[in-house]
Amino acid sequence: MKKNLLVLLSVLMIASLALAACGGESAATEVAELGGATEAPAATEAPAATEAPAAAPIEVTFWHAYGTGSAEETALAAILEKAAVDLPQYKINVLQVPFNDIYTKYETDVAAGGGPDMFIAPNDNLGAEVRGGLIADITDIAAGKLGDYSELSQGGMKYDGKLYGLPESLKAVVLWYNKDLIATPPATTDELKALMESGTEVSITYGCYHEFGFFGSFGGKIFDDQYNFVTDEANQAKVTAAVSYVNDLYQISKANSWPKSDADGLAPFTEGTAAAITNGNWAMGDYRKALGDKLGVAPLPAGPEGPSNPLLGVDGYYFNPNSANLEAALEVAMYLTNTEASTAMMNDAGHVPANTTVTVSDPLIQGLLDAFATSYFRPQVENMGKYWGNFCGTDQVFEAGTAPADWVKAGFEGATK
Amino acid sequence: MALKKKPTSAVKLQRKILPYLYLLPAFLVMGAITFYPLIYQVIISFTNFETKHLLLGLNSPELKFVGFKNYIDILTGALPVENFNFFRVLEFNFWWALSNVFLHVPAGVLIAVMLNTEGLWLKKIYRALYILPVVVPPIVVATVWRNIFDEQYGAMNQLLTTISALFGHLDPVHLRWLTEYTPPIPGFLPGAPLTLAYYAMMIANFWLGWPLMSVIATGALQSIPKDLYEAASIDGATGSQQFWGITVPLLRPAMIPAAVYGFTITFNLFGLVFFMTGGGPARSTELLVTFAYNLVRNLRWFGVAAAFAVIIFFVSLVVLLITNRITRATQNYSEA
Amino acid sequence: MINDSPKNSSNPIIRFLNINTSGQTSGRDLPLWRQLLIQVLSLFILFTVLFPIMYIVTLSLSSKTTRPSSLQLIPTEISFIAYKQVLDHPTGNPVSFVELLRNSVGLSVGVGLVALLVAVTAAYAFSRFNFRMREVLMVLVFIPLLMPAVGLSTPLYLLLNNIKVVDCGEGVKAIIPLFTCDGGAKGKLIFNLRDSLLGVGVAITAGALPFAIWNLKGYLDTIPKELEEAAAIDGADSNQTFWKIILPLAAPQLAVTFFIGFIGNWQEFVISWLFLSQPKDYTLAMTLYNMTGQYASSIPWNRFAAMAVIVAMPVAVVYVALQKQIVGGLTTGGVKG
Repeated sequence: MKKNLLVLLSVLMIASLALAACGGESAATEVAELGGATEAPAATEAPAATEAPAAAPIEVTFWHAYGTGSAEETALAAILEKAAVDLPQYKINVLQVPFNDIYTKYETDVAAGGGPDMFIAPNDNLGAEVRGGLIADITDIAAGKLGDYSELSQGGMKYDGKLYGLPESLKAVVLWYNKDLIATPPATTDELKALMESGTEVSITYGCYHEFGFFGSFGGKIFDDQYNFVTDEANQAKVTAAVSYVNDLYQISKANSWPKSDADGLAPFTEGTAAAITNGNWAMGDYRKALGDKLGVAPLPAGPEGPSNPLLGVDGYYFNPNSANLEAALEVAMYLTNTEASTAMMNDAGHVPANTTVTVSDPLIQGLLDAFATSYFRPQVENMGKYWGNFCGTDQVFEAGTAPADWVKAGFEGATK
Repeated sequence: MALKKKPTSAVKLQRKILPYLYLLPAFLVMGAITFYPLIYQVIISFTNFETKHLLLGLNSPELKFVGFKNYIDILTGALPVENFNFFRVLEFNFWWALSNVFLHVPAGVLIAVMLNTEGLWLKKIYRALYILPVVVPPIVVATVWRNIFDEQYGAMNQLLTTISALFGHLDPVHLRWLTEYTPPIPGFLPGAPLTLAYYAMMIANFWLGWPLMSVIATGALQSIPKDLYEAASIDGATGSQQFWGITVPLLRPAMIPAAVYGFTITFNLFGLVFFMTGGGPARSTELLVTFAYNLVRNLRWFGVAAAFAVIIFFVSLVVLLITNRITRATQNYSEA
Repeated sequence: MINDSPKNSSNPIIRFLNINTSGQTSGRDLPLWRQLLIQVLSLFILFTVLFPIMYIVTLSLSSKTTRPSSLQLIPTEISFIAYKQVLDHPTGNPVSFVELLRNSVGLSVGVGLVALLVAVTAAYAFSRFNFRMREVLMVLVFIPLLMPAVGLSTPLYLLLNNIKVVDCGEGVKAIIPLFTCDGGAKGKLIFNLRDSLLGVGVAITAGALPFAIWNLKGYLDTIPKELEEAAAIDGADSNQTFWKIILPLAAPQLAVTFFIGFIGNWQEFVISWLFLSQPKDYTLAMTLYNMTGQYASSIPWNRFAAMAVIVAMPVAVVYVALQKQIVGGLTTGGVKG
């Protein structure tokens, strides 16, 4: 009996070792003899080190959220190929994570003590991550190295005066249009509405992020200069006017069964059914691939009270406080955002570069830069989270029929509770 | 009968502990990877465990014991999430599982009976092909059906357009299956209004569900002796009488466990629901498991998620007891 | 008498209503009109069954990554470029298709085997022996089945995350939490159990074990006790009975339990997704999920469809080949549950 039990147990052991072998890593219960020695944690910056050329390269891991097969991802892959040649002292490991997961995955892994050396993403969660201690303060190690990056973009990476990321590009929501279908884009909110009412299919992306720009068109403010919510009656009326306007557009979209999100609008816009679409410039690569010269860009229409002010986000590389190779990671990040790389991202993927040494010759990029002139710098304060928490239930107005004034009032009340 | 040696006390002892020895490997493994996490889970359900506590786990200095707060928050809807009402989700979950089973089992049985007609050509091919829905990965099923119910270009709307054109309405049909808020049948279900998304999911899950029932029914049908039908037709019983009098009672022992199995699977059907509607417009198609996933993955309120898991456990326990009672009752009935 | 039966009635409606729904006729050939009627119905059902599948296959044979705005069931073009792309470069991550396949197979087979081996003795004990704590222990085993897997994931994450192998420098390696580096140095992480296929395998086994025990017990219950009694009369003790008689007899059913587990693990991605962050550990199911959860617009539909076809293939083969046994396995285990 004991013999058979022993046989069973040894089969179990073999099975688990087999599993471990398939996993490709050493089993946790045996001390593995690793092949080439790995570097000591502290990375050196000087390329001409006293180390022998046969020293193993420092591994730098970074994550990104560019879609599989998108223009952004292809451009990044090309840049990385070149990096393998130009930076032989680093071995760059890349992981693509779907966008709706990247913050969660990064934050969970870092909180548990692991995570990549850095990741690139919009500065959506910068404030929250700093407050959670999940990204590293690089003010000191980056001091004096950021001369090439515009002040505006650096500002997007700062919190409380300290720098938390290396900026890569600027993003905001604009109006893309098909020049064959509309000669001149609608410049005011009334023109846009009239265009839609006359039957021209426009794909408006509804949602608390994409619609933010319209607040400026109607003079409504969410935050004041100290990032407190502006709750006085006059302002609420203007915000309500903006929401009403978007609601009118939504009802037109609904009646005509036009797409109401950027994902649904991609096919119609690229196939030429939809005349225009509101989306960020991250999609420019895909739009341009389909429409070529027919693609035009304009700011979100201005309104009775002024120009639109979409949220201006900055994409950047953020660094993991658990990482042992911060300086190596910074160097790799700077390579990935240097003139050459930024130019490639600009031309192929439509990124508006943070690097000021890039020459902008593309009229579309210039158009984007012009549109960004009136944009609203995305705040990193905690109140921004309250905006997302209280002003994103737009379906209450669009679908459930709540009056915009009541909804706005409830939103401000919830945010200032 | 051969003479047996009288067992010594050593052998007696061995026989007594033998079962426990047999159980040892499983319980050792389960103790480490199943029971320990379960207990851990229950413990953190009484705390305010969040992302920042991940590094040190239970040893985190900031971890606070909050007693039953998580449980109360879930049950009274005090969680700071939109549209979440625990009892509505619970009611919907039960209704979802029940209505699916009540649709799949009869459909599966009817199709199995139809296919079982003697002399039918291509029977084997049909049987082999009808099983295909089960092999497609759930995430693919959900994505494809989501496409089919797409408002603009979905196949379902195109089909409805064609049909309505036959009746003279030439306007294209653009039902907003997955995003429409207002329930098509007002007042149904009281307490958990069923939006169009529910009906879309029913259709998708029907496609997925009846093949399995059909296969089980086929297997059970083969074991019904032919003589019964012979005797019945000699006595003048019609086909329909034969169906209700012979086929159904004899299928029951096989179909009841199948229905119970189907109920359990559908109750916890994460893949299809999550990827097709994500909980539906304003959580109208949210299941307990999809909300649990939401709590863990997106909101990362681990303490609340743990409490929610414990609540789901008790719900499943009740379901198990009820289904056990039903299974046992019908078993006794058919053996009587 | 036979000529008076409703089946030979001159009224077609009565004939139709008397279609032999039991399926057991006395061997007479099916009349042609009835045959055709049922054929039409069956074909219609076949169409509804195949419709989404044809949709996917057609999509996988297209060369465009955008979703076609009109419905296409028959491929308008046959282009294998999506398959080629999937096989060359399945995702944006540096992992080859072969590695993904190897990981998927290793994980599914490994977990299936381990769960089976660990569960079989316990299932036998529950099925055959009558001992004092039987009811209590049985309930204990089945409790985890009632807990949603997603709930267990957090504690397992934390538990597995604590087991690491670090390099303390100077060639000294330490296995945390058994040892730590001298002087409290953090050491360079070489291996984290959580972030590895082995860890994922362990986590999946946590859920697979109770199911395996439950399923196997159901099978073993159906093996008649007379066999063991006969063996006992011949002087065999319990162990010999188990290893030499019961196990070989139950081998086909063991295989079915293994395959049911295999199919489940093959499509599993929730835990893998939560735990893993190195592309070389990724599985096929994760890649499939990776392609859908994309930002905004860029689901590469033709590649997604191609990957779906590839992931579905092994499951299809196993299911079609072992249809009867698998279905029998699921309900047998259920009856006695």
